[in-house]
Amino acid sequence: MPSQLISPAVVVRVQNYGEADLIVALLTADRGRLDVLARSARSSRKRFAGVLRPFCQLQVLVDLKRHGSLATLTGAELERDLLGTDVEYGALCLASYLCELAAHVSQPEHADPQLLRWLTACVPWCAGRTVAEDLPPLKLASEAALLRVLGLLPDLLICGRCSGDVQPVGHWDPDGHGLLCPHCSPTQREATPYLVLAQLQASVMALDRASALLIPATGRSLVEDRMQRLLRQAVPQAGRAERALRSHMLGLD
Amino acid sequence: MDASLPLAVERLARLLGRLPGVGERSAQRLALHVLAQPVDYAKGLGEALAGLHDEVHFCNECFHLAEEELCRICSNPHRDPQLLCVVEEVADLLAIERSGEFRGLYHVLGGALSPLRGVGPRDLRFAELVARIAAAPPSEVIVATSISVEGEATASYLLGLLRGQTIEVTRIASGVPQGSELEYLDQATLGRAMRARLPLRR
Repeated sequence: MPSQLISPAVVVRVQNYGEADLIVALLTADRGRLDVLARSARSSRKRFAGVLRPFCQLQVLVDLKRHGSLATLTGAELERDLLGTDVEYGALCLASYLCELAAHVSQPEHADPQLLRWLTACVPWCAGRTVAEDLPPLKLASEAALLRVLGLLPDLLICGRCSGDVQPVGHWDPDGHGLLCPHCSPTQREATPYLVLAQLQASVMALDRASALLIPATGRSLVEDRMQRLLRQAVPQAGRAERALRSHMLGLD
Repeated sequence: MDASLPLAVERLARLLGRLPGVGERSAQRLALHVLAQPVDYAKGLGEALAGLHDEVHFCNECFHLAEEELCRICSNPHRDPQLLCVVEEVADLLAIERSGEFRGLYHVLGGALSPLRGVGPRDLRFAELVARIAAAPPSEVIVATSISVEGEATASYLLGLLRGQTIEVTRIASGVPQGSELEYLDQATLGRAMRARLPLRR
């Protein structure tokens, strides 16, 4: 087993440790989530040049020989600040939620470049001035895209029973196996307009902000609920950032 | 801890070892140092520590540390009440005071918004700030939160709370530190300094 790791990574969480050190949770392409110790990272900005911040995409050098329970970060070079500093609180909540999801679903010691690609595509959606109305479609599209990475996203355009189009509305299968066309749905309940499903599918495939923002608001609530339910299979409990995001989106702040 | 030490010394060393920057050996050295001093020193130290929580609390106005209802800054008639500087922590207030460049009043929020750490608007003293501004509006609010994504989000949130009021809201500048050489600066700081460049005045 190599003693050093050089890998692209995104900082998903940072925690003070002792007087001058940091424990940095990284999502790496080669080894999934990796918690590393960054010695003297708080007392010397020269060593890591201020890049050990959440939402920074880095090239990291990690000494995998464990000192205690953690590997040691020996070098980090900034490739891209995925979020930037000019950000609204709601957008910060969403970006934090995405990092929280990534940290939760990633398997330690398990290479997952698709998950890293998802995170590096979706966090920049929150950068700059993001208005409150943009948050729900961006959240929905990023959740659906994550479900696709995890293999949990049902086909949003094809009937799960007859393989026909789900037009003009898709009915959510009461057994939880995806969507049914109007002919195959036994209950004719829980219908989501095809336009919402098609645009969500397009945003998942393109993984870009503009596609996500085109998801219509009308008829979106049911698909939001279903994505949440599917996500709960992978992330059973809401984390801090998810609670903060929910609270913000409900206007409870 | 060293089993050969008397229990009282060991107990003191254990408590001192919980202070930031004090490791196990330093804590032991400090405990032995206190023991080597005249007894009055140890008593004075003990009394100072015991009285800390009784005598110090938060200022009713700005939430700086105070011995009375108001802190020394809020009760100083020579401070300018038209200038209100919003900081995250008491340590930030002290840093600005050390600069000697600010003669207004402060408001200590108690942190910065951080969804990853579970710190939301209701965990900080925004409501107290809004009430304070409504009661005695300053002409300028200077937002001196940290230059980080959390600090900027906090500043942006605060700006939203003050929207519609006839108060000038400013943000502390950020960029190249005094006396530093550009080649040793990190990319983020230098990039920000370039974006926030100022016209050169003749």
